[in-house]
Parts: sequence; C-alpha cells; structure tokens
Amino acid sequence: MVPDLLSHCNHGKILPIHTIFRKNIYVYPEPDGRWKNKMYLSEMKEGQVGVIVHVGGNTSFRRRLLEMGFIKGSEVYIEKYAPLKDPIELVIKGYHVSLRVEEASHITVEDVSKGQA
Amino acid sequence: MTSPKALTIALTGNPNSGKTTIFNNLTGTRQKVGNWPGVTVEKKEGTIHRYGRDLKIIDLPGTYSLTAFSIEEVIARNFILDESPDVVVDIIDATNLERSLYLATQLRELDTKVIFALNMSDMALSRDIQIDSVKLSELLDVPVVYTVGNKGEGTDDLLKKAIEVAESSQKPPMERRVKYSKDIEKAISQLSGFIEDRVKDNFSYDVRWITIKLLEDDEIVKKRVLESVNNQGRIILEEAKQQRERLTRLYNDEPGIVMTEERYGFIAGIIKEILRIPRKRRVDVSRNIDLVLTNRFLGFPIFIFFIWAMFQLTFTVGAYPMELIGSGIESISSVMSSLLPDGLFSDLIINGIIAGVGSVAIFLPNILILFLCIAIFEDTGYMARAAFLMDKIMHLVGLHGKSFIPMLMGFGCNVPAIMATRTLESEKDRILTILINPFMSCSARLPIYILLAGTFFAERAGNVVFSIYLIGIVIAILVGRLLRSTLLKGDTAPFVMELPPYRMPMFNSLMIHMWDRSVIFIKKMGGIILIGSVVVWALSAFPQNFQFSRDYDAQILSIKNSYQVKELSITGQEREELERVTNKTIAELESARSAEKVEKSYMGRIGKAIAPIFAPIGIDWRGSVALLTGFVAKEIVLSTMGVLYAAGGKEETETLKETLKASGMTALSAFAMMVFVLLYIPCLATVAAIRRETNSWKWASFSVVFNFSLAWIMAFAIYQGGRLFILHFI
Repeated sequence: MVPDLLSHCNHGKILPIHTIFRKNIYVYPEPDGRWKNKMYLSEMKEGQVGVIVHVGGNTSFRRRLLEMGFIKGSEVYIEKYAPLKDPIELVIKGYHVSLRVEEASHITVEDVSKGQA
Repeated sequence: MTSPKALTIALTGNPNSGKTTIFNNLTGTRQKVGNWPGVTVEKKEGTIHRYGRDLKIIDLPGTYSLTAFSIEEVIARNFILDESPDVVVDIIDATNLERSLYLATQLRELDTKVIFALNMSDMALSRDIQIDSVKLSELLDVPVVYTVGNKGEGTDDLLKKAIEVAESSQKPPMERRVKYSKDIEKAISQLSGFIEDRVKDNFSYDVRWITIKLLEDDEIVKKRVLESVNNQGRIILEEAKQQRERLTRLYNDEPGIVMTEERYGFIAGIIKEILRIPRKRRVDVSRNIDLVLTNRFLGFPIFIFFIWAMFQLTFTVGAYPMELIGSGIESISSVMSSLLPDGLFSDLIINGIIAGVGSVAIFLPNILILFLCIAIFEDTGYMARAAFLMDKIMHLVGLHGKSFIPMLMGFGCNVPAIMATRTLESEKDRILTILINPFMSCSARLPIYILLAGTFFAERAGNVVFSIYLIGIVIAILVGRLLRSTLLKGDTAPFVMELPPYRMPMFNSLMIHMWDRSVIFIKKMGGIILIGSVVVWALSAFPQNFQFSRDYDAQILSIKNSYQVKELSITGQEREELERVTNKTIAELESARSAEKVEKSYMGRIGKAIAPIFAPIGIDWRGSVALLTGFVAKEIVLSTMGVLYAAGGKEETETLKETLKASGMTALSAFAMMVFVLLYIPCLATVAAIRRETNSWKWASFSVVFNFSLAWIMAFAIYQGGRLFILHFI
C-alpha cells in the first residue's frame, strides 16, 4: 500500500504532506542496477515480455491479481491490444487473461524483451 | 447390510477447468438446476446411484480462490464449511497447473477431504506438458485421478476414488499444507493458541484456517467469529488486529497479500518438482484462431457477422418448425371444437387456452435456436472474446465487458440474462446492467415485431425489426450513461478476465445448456402465460348478456333466406356471383358482431378507459388492451391482439394481418407501437427477477416507472414527429 503512494506521485513535483501521514511513509532504496528498464505494464507493446516488479492499486484489486498469478517475478507476455486499444491480452503462467490499460498502469514491470529476443 | 446414507460429493475448480463437463458426465440428464438459497447463482446438483451407493453430486461455482471477494467464492466456501460434503473433488486444469494449484492449496487449508482430478490430461500431453501426478499426490497428500472430461475418460475412476476417500475413516491430513514464513507462522500459532485458550471446543471450524482468515482480514470470517463466540469474539478480533498490524509493519504490506505471495511460492516449489514444460513456445491453435477473431481489423466485422448469423439462423431456420407447430395447434383446435359442444367451456378451451398458449408455443423453435447459439458462444470460449472486444465500448457506457454477456443473453430472455449478471463483481455494475437489460429486446417481443413489421413493411420487415433492436441498444447505452452519472456513480470493477483456450463444444453439454434455459421459457408458458390467456379471455368473454346495437342474428338469417329464395331462380355464373356476395355480407356481419362483443366486454371497457393515454402515440383501444396484458408476459400482447382484432374469426396470422390493416393502423403507428413494446414495462417475470437480483423493490419499481415513461416519450416523438414529417414533406 505504502510504496504505491509514492509511485503515483508526479515526478519532479513537490507535494506537501501532513505530519500524520509522514510517519507512515517509508522509503526503500532500489537494488542498484537491478531494474534497468522499469516501466508500467500499460506502456509495453505487443510481443514484449516483462517481469512483474510490483502490483499497486487498492487491496481487492491487488488480491485478485495476485491470486490469478500476478506475483512478483512472474513473466508477462503482451499478447495483443484489443482492436480499440483497450483492454490488453496478456499471457501469464501459461494462460491468457485480459486487463484494462488503466489497470495495467498499476503494475510495474521490468522489460526483459531484449534479453529474450 | 443396510444401504449407507447418500454420500455428498462437491465439485470445485477454476472457471473453464472443465468442471461442468465432468458434472454432466457424472450426472447425465439426472441433474437439477436451481439457485443457491438467498442468492441467484446457479446451483446444479444431481443424484445418482452407482457402486451400490446413492451419490449426491453438487457443482460448486467456478472460482480461482476461496477468498470472500465474489459471491461465487463465498458460496463455494460456505458450502464446504457448513454442509461438510463427504469429499470435495477439485478439478484441476492440467494445462494450467500453477494457477489451479492456488485453489487446491486453499482447499487443503480447510478441514475437508479433498481429491484432485487432473483434467484435460490429454491436452497437456499433446502440448508436451508432463506432470508427475504421483509426486503431486505425495507432496500435498491428496489422491490424484486423471480425467479427460470431454471424452468421458476417468469418470469412473474418479467416482471410485471419491467413494473410497469419502468412506474412509481417516481424517483429512493435517500435514503437507502451505507453510508460511517464520513470522507469519509465529503469528498463526500465537493467534490460534489465543483462540483455543478462549473457546476450547465449541468452535466448529478448523482453528488454523480461522486464524489464517483473520490474519487476511476476511470480513465474513470476522463476522462468524463474532456470532459463534459472542463475548470472546471481540477480544479475539482485537488480538487478530494487533497481529495483523505487527505483520504489516514487518512486511510493509498487508498480511493477506504476503500470504497470497507465499502460497504461490509454495506452489512454485511443487511445480518445480512435478512439471516439465517444453521450453520453446509452440504453435498454439487457440492463439492462431485469436489472430483472426480478435484481430485489429477483422475482430469487429467477424463479431458483428456472428451476431447477425445468430439472428438469421434463429428466424429463418426457425420459421420451418414454426409452421409445423402452427398447423399442429390449428388441428388440435379444430379437433377440440368438433369434440366439445358449443358453449362457454369450449370457447374457453379453444379461444382462451389453445389460442393464447398456442400463439406463444410456436416461438419455441426460435427460442431453442437462440439459446443454442448462445450456448455455442459460451462453450467454445467466444463469449470471453466478445467481452474482450466490447469492453472499451461497454466501459464508455460505464459498464464492464462482462456486462456484454448478460446483455447479449437479454436478446433471448431478460430473466436468465438478469440472473447472469451475477458474474459481475461490483454491485453498482450489476444493478446498472440489470436496469438496462430490459432494453435488449427479448425473444418474447419478437413475435409482435414480426407481425407488425410483416403486416406494414412487407419485404422491408427484416430491416425494420433490425432497427428496433438497434434502437434498444442505443437507448440502453444512453440510459446506462445517464444512470452511471446520476444514481449509480462510481468506478467499474477491474477487468481481470480469463480468455480460455477455444474448445470444441460438446453436443451433450450444448443440449443441456439449451434445455436448461428453454425450460424457463416453457415454464413461463405453462404458468404465467396460461393464466394470463385465461384472464384475458375471461375479460373479453364477459359480460355475456348485453344488448347488441343491431340484431345481427336476424339480419344474417334474413340474408340467408333471401339467398335461398333467389338461388332457385338463377343458374351458372349469376348464381356463383350471388353466393359470393352473400357469404361476404354474412362474414362482415359476423365479424362486426364479434367486434361489438369485444367492445362491450370488460376488456373493451378497460381499453377504452385507458385509450386516451395511448392515443397520442397512435395506438387505439385494442392496442392499449394488448399492451396492458403484455405486462403479464410480452408474448400475450400478440395473443390479445389475436383475440381483439381477428375477433371471433380464425386464429390465423393472415386474418390478423388483414384485420390490422383494416383497423386504421398505419406503418407509422405500427412502428411507434413496436418502439413502445421494445421499451415499456418489463414483463412480470423480469420485474420479479430485477427485484430478486437487486434485492430491492425500489429498483424494481424504478424500472417499471422509468421504462414506461421512456417508452411513451419515444413512441410519442416517433409518431407525432413522423406525422409532421409526412404532412410537410410527402
């Protein structure tokens, strides 16, 4: 829940935060050089492969996705975008699932397509 | 030996795991389809007698997990907890092992006997997926049986194993369950110790399971704990809350999420030991089909073609058996009229019951074909693609792609369609989908369009009917947007939907599917429509003794007499001519008499009383009566029109068409009436379904009032607008 808050801030903007929230903010250093091509799942193109880094959003959405296999470290293949560019068809853990672009923007992935090509 | 009590076998598994196929294999035609108590998720069960035992087989709703997020999950979980089936069979899709095992590990956490059915093992084999089932059985301490649902293989083994496990005295194994990380296990043992200290043994559930659920912050379990151990419950929940907070600090995430990840970690360990998958991506038939069916350019044209083909098939192919049934009903009617003595009773049978039910029964072929098409879409997996294609559009309306499926089913019958909205997870999505569903023109309304369009638009009837359907869709979209921005504000639920591989539909399951739904229609015919027809007949047959404005009988008699006199003096052509004229006059008099009879009946009086409401939209008092009776069921509109317009004459459509034309109805007023029929009050059964599904009279009455007003306004705009247009431009 908490790291999510930060990932949704607009980079470069300064946000004032009330003291009662401050004690709930944790900052984690990202392992150096581990994620080079980090992006949102919604930014990926057809045929690319990503490894899930983090699933954000509200609790029930996260739980649902996790239960369907969107676990840290799982590989996601972008099968295709629907004719109207939304939703996206993904292959994860060997099965096909569709997700809206907006929802995919809560999922952070590491683009590993280059290594696989 | 006395025969042992019936064993209960519950089937569970992921959606698309082939669970329903296995259920059909096991029970065949001996299945009962109903609802789960209190909710309207379909409950299927069947009782069979095999291996000397009575077996009750329950098909639990397909779920990915046993968390309490969707109503299906709650039902499946509560059944296992409260009804304690003798054994639970988890149907595992062998081609989708990793995800399937998630549910399996959750089942193992419950205090119940489980066996696994590795289904579609042939598919897995053909894809070079190798599963070490012996090891799987060993690692989770659960018997494993191979099945191939669509070929009926392994069904007997499964039953034998299920009986064996159900009757064994062994308790479900406690070991070989998911082991969580140290801190979580510590929290589990502390909390379960805390619970055991306080409640001892008046707790009917597995304590470890309850503890895990409390750490996951499961609302339903929390409520149950409060209910079952009232005074201690609060303390337990408080302790659980503290443990949860401690874990949250420790993991920087909610314990529920961490535990989900750890379950998958546990599964990953199993997978590593038992599963061999080919490294390279293979040619996948299903994927290739999707290259075409959900193609950027071809996807929509093909989709529209399928829908078009479905309607064509329904109405052109359906026309042949329709004729057959029609003539069958006619001959029954004529046999009855020759058997029964003339009088009120024979009138009730022939003009009330046979005519009323018969005019609906002839649409049975259409409905069977429509439901068959929908069953094919569902069983092949195309339904999910339709939702995938349509989600963007549905989302614009504020709906979920999954709403498209109930909307499409609405073309068949709104009642099962409204029931199908249960697949939607969000309450608001569900209510919205339910409320706009009646605008999807159900098959009961079609006969009315066919008659009106066929009468007034001749060869363009097809296009006119199509435009009515289109108007319904457009109205649904507009109303959807309106409600979403006013009464039902809020976000739509996440669109996490599996796109299962395409499958060849099985004949058996198609038939069962089609049958289940058609039964609803037939029941409606036997119940509501039968009663409705009798009421309509009674209203139009009474009062019996009133004064006709003319003495029709005397007039007819005098014409007959004068014919007989003249007949003797002329021959040949003249005589034929005279005979023709005489018969025509008599027929006119007879029909005028029946028309007057109806006009003076209770029905006619009601119709005339409400006629002013319908006059501005071009519907006369007979149309008003017909529409009024349509509230019972839309099919009745047609049979009422049959009685009122063709009054007393034959129940043939041709006669009705002629009378309609003669009644002063125009193409424009016919169109206005069709639009009105499309939009106005949903039928009684639909209103009942709305009330049941939304669980509120508020929404049901909203639907009645809103739809009626909308229908009137639309019909008014069309009729009056059209008249102005014709007046000024043509």
